[in-house]
Amino acid sequence: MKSLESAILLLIVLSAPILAIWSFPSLPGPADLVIANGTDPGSIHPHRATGLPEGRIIQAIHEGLLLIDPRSLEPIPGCADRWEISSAGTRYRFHIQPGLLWSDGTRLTAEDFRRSWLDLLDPLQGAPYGDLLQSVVGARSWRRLETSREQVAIRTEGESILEIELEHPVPWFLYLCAQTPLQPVHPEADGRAGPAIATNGPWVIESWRLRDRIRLVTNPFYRGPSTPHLEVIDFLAVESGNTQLNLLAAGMAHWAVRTPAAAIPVLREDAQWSSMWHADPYLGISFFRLNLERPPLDDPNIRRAISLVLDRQQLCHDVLGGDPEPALGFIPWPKPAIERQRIKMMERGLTQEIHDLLPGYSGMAMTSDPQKPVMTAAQIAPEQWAYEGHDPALARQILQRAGWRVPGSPEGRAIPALEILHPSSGTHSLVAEWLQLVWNRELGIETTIQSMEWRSFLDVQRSVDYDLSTSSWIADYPDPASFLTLFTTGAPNSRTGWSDQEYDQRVASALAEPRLEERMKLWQQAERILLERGPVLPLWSMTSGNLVSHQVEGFLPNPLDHHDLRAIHRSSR
Amino acid sequence: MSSLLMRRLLASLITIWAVFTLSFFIIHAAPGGPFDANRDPPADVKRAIEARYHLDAPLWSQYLDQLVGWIQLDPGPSLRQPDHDVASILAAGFPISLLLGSLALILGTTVGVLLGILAALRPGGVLDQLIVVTASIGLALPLYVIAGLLVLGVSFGLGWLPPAGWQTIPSLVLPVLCLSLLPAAQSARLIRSGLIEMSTEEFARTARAKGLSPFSVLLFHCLRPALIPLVATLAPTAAALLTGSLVVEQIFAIPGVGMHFIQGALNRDYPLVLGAVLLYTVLLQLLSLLADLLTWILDPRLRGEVR
Repeated sequence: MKSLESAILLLIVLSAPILAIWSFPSLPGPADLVIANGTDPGSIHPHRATGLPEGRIIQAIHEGLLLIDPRSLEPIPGCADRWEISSAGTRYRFHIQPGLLWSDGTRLTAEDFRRSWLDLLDPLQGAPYGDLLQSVVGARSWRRLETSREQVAIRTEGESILEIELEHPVPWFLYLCAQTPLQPVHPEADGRAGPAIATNGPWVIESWRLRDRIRLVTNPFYRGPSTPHLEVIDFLAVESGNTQLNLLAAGMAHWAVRTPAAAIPVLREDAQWSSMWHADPYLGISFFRLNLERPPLDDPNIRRAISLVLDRQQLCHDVLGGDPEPALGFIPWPKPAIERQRIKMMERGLTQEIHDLLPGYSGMAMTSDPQKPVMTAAQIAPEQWAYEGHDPALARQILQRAGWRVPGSPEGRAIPALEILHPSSGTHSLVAEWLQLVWNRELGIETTIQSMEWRSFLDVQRSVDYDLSTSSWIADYPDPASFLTLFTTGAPNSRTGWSDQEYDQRVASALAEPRLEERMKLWQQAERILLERGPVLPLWSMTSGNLVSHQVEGFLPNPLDHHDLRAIHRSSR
Repeated sequence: MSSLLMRRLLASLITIWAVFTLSFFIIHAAPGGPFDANRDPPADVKRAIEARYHLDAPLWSQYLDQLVGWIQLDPGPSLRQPDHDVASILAAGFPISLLLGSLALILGTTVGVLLGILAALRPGGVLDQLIVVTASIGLALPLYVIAGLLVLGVSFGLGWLPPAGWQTIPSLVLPVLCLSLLPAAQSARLIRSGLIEMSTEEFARTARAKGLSPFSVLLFHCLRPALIPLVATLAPTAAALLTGSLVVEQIFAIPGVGMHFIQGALNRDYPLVLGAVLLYTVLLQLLSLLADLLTWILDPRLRGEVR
């Protein structure tokens, strides 16, 4: 018995080192660039991917018709070396560069783009971003299965011409041509992605270790316009912001895409970190959805008052770490933030030009002054914001006039309690507690806070079973349309049940308006309706947050948070 | 013995099926679905995506599909990572968790048993009190606090070990240390109390009366019976350690399977959650069987009963 006992014990003890030698991964050599890329990517098929970690990888291993210049944010040649747009702005003709190859050495032609784009639109394939191409003639009816694939106006001429006809001018169409869903997919991919599937970008996947890293190496068959500087790139699957920070501090990563909120004040102020910390204005808005069917939010006076008492500057500074900008309306307003960014970069000796995000959109220039409905950004003072800035006294007056009871005055009806619904992750609870405090102190409104796991939260939000719910929106393309089509009647992501005929009309007119200036005016009118009557309470314009090692060069801050690896290289520092 | 083994195996199979069935219906009862996002695609596109993964089928039919899939060891693709099937996701992470967990188990148990013996040598003495307090702290402190302190001190203070990553053998040290704390503290307490209890038994008194030193009595006469309760608690501890730890995997960026239990559920990645739960259940059943076997070896009284 003794010997059996010893044998079992010995076997158990020895199994661990044996297992260690057997299962420990072979050490990959060093990479030129290591990116702590966030969550382990889901699908990296261009038609199926939805998140930013996936997008960064797809941009490196695929190449679209066009690329976005990280300096000017203008579309530049990718697979297409030139293009023509008809005078009406509805017909695009792209010339595919001759001699392009897939990473398996086969020819890449205009037909590959046509097939990929039709697959993206195919209603039965269920690509989440298929609607990016719905303005193509014939696309909408095919997506409703009323017509066929052949009737969609995406055509080829020979191997090198791709022609697209749109229902109406889409000013952001060239920008779309650089986006991940519109990248060409290999004919044999059949919905799959990974090392075995050929791609056409400057890099290919060498290995994919689940929940560890995806390693890219240069694609020997790449014939595109870029000259990538990096030979080996590692995308680490590191979910935790703290761990990303640790890896960067230890020199084991060069770019951390997520940092813990608690570290942001140090990253901003500490000299060792501040030159690596890029918190740049970003085309995203944080807001609350309001349920206009429930009292007291059905009263516009209450909606106006709960907004007026908010000192958004204080929220951004004290609660959010200081990087985000107060929202002045529903479209994020990067202009003042961009100005600040420009100054910050000049201080650092950088001379890169930062561009306005929505050229032609005077943006939050809508003010409370009806004489000057449109102003340039530099002229706007906080008291002229669309939300009239921060004015608790005015808020109380408004409520009193409407017959509600406010602190310091016993008359009027008591305001029913509100419930704030937020997802349980991130800084949402801090924001909710701040709102609870301010509304109670200034207006005497009782607020309860309900925190929910993300998918349960989405489920409640979708069924509009809330008073106020935490929300955010990041633009799919740099145009007001990406924000303002969100709340048209029946839009799939409205999640408010709100419907306003006048608003719908303005949005429809703006979408169909070919003249830029007129379009922008229509967008501004639509935004004004949304702010005055609509179900939104904007809080702050988002900022991107990247921590980038000094060894990385060519990382150019921009309001799209677009960082093409083709432009990035390592310095010897 | 063999009929006992057969009965145990049958009970294990029924347990595994029951856990699978319960887990399937509980995870499907949770609100929301795997393809919910801040930006929903239009309703018909969403229906097409759900149809691709048979999520439009009635629940009982999905249940049968999954059950048959698992019986054939081919549960299909993960819903969040459709480029990979669930079996390969678990197969990629399990050796890593197994390695970390077994190293932590061996280290923790060995250290714990040694500390338990030292503490039992002089109950109430300074060493005993020190070990009891340390073990209590080890049990009480949350793992993320210990891990954070270790990273701060060992990686950034002393610069000895990498703070995270799964690249070199040194990157194993901190996660193994963290994971070994719980089994070390548990076994130190169990062995200490077991030895103290055993040393009051008649056989120990007889041994001492025969002139054996207290140390020899503890080591050669009391340790063996004192190990029995430890072996019994080791099965669930080992199953938990070998299937990874969410906290340790997250802090040290370890690509094990521990994360799938939480993330799979949060993402409503139904097949992946079921896979993770099945992995844990099967392992727990196997280890319980092993623990029974070990107890049987350690305790001669049981052998008589089984025969």
